[in-house]
Amino acid sequence: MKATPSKGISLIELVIYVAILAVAVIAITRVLIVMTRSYTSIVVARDLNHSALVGFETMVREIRGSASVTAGSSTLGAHPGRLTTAAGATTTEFYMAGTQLMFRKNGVVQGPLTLSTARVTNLVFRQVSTGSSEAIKIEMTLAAGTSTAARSVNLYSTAILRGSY
Amino acid sequence: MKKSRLKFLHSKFRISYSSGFSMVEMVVGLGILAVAFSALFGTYRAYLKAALKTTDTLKAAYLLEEGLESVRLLRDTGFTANIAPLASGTSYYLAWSGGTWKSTTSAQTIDGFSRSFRIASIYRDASQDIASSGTLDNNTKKVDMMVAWTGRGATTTETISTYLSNILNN
Repeated sequence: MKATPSKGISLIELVIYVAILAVAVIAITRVLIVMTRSYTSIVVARDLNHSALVGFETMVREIRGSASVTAGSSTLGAHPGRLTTAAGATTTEFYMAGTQLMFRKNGVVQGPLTLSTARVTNLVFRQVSTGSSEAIKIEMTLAAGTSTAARSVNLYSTAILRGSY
Repeated sequence: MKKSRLKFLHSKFRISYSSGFSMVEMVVGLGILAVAFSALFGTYRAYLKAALKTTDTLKAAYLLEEGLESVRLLRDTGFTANIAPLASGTSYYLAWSGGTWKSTTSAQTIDGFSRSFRIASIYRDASQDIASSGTLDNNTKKVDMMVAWTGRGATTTETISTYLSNILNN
């Protein structure tokens, strides 16, 4: 056996290795923190988007399918808004329960249109009358998440009651 | 049998010479890992960006829909008074005033989303179909509704179009 001088690890080498390891560990930890935060923001965005899509799509569709606005049982132009529309014998209602948007058809609750993780912070219905048709302008603000992960969106749409022509 | 034993001994000697990873090898290894991970995180970032952009796209879609419903309301109020005088190719905007939608020439923005629309004249051929040239149809117009917004340094523009007819003859 050929005797070679010991090739172990010198102190300088050890220090460098530890430094490299430390940098790697710090980088991995930071990546984990960023990933956790971004996952939270994705969840918040998903809650917001889902509530916005289901809430607005249902309201716009139901308004378009209606013939008239029942002003007596509606709260128009103020938050929290309440909209009651009629199409023949069918009555459709949109109103707020807590921070959720609710949907009622012929007096029967169909359920909330927004997720319990999202909050409706503003809901205003405005009526437009042209003499030939009626329309509803909807303004809704949705919020989700808390502190740094909080997100909110203002949504606007207008729908003409197709039965009002 | 003897040969394989020799080989074994030989390899045993070889192992004693090996000195594990050298510093250079370790640095190169870490470098390759870093490049691979940065590519992975780049992909994740792009995915995250796309996921967070959805809310704006959704908002723009409803603003576009509202835009078209608003020009229909203008038509319902009076095609001759509200739609016919609008010049082709000029950008108009929608303003909420007096409890209804009005068209205006001053730019309007809704939470940073600018919405505008353009009217185009419609021509019909001998068989009354819409064509690029022919007889001018004064009772039909094409409406292009546009919504533009800036998010994360890039401007996105979405457009939807429809035909507007003087169905109420007003």
